[in-house]
Amino acid sequence: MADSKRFLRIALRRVLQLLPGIAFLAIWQVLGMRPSVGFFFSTPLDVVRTIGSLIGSGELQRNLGVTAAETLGGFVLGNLVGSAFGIGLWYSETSAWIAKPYLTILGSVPVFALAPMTILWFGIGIGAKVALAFLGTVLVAAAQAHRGVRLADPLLVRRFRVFGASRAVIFRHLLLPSAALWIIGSLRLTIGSALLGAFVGEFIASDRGLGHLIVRASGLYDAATVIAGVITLALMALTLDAVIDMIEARAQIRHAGGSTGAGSSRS
Amino acid sequence: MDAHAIELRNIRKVFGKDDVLFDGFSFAVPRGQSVAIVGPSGAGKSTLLNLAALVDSADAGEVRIDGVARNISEVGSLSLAYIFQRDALLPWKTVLDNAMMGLLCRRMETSEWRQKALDLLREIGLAEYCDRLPSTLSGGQRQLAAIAQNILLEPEMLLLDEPFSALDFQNKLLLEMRLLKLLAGRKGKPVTSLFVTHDIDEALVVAERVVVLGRRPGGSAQVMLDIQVPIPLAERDPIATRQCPEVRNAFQELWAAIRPLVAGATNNG
Repeated sequence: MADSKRFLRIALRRVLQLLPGIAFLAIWQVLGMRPSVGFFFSTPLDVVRTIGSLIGSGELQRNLGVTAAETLGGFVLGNLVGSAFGIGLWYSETSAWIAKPYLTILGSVPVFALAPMTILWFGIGIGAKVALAFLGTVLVAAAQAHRGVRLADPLLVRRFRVFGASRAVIFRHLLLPSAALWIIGSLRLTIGSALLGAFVGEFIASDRGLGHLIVRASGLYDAATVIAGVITLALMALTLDAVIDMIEARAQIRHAGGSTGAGSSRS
Repeated sequence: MDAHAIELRNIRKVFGKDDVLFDGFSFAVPRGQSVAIVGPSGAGKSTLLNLAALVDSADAGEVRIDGVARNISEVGSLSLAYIFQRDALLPWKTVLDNAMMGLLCRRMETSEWRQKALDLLREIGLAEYCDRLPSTLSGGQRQLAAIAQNILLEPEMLLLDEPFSALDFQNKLLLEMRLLKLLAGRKGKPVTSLFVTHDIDEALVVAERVVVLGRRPGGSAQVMLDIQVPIPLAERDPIATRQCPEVRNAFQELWAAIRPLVAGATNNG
């Protein structure tokens, strides 16, 4: 009895959650059937049909693959270079002091303002988009990693020093693991910027990618393809976010030594 | 060889612009002796310990270890262990790996030392927790693991900064027993120790000599009282020692010295 009540309550909440979305799609479909509205907004059914035909022709997968490659290329490169630079600053207080104002200045520049320059430097191929994704990632990654090593537990640093540890040992066995959560935090902060960088690059000048698909379709007043491209971008962002969620959860378990199956925490 | 394992000579230590904590302060711990420092908060107990451990430096004066003046850069080369109030364990390493942290720092991670670490953990009752992470242990077990980490390298000097203050009374008694066994010396070699605590009873249980450190208002830190505990270390038991009449008298004597200082203490470590 209690189980069936609970099931009903969950089902009702699920319906209530879906209701606004269904209502939105229904209103959109009805209004979109008028040519004056449909021209600008298409209809949900048209969008689904367009997605189907784009998948059928392989066009969606090709463009998705290009945007994903540009995003992940810039994202991975930006996080690797940024984290290495941020952690490396720990080795020299003087370098950290010198670098600080430059990082602040560069951090305050909207990197996408550099988009036209990257096209100039790298052409309209994948290089310019990777560069923009990289620029959107690298400074945040550097700042996060540097903060991570600076915030390592001072008691543990002192413990390592009393034991006579070299800087290399402190770095490898204490600072690097301490900074790990900050570095993973930077993955979450930068994935959106990387995707935006790749997309902006494609938007400005490209011959492939989801940005190119959207720009080309909007030039042809093809609202259904534009919306299909936007939905694909959103799904890609959600997938990347879910992957980072998984990485973050695993890292937190490992770092905090929480639920490793070794037993619950006591104090 | 110098009779003093640890010696602070004419130390001057100033906090901020004009808070002179130590001024011409001298203090020594003979080799193999166990000394406890008690006193109110702000009397300079932890600062004295940090200076002796070479993790902090004095503005003037010298710190001599085994008769040789040492500075802060030499801390890692000494046979010295420093146990903090809070266990300094790496949360992402197992108890065994944490116990071997000193070996890792000195690049001595051989299978022979690994076996020694396992033997030590067995000796202190942590054998079954070797593969666990620190977060899965109780506060007492974590502090035991921290002690294991410090004594594995068989240090000649042990510095302890209120190591039991975060523990419940039962765990405190158990760890006091372990510490007494340790101070009696592993392999018959007595360990020099300097123990900072707020707890007079604890000081009387683990030390052969108890020193009251205090400051009069506006003045620098001084040794206000220095007494010998009338029971040999080898004959100590945490409960029996607390109840012994001579030890109760020593408690009264120490409290009489500390009480007037409590209101006048300032806020430096």
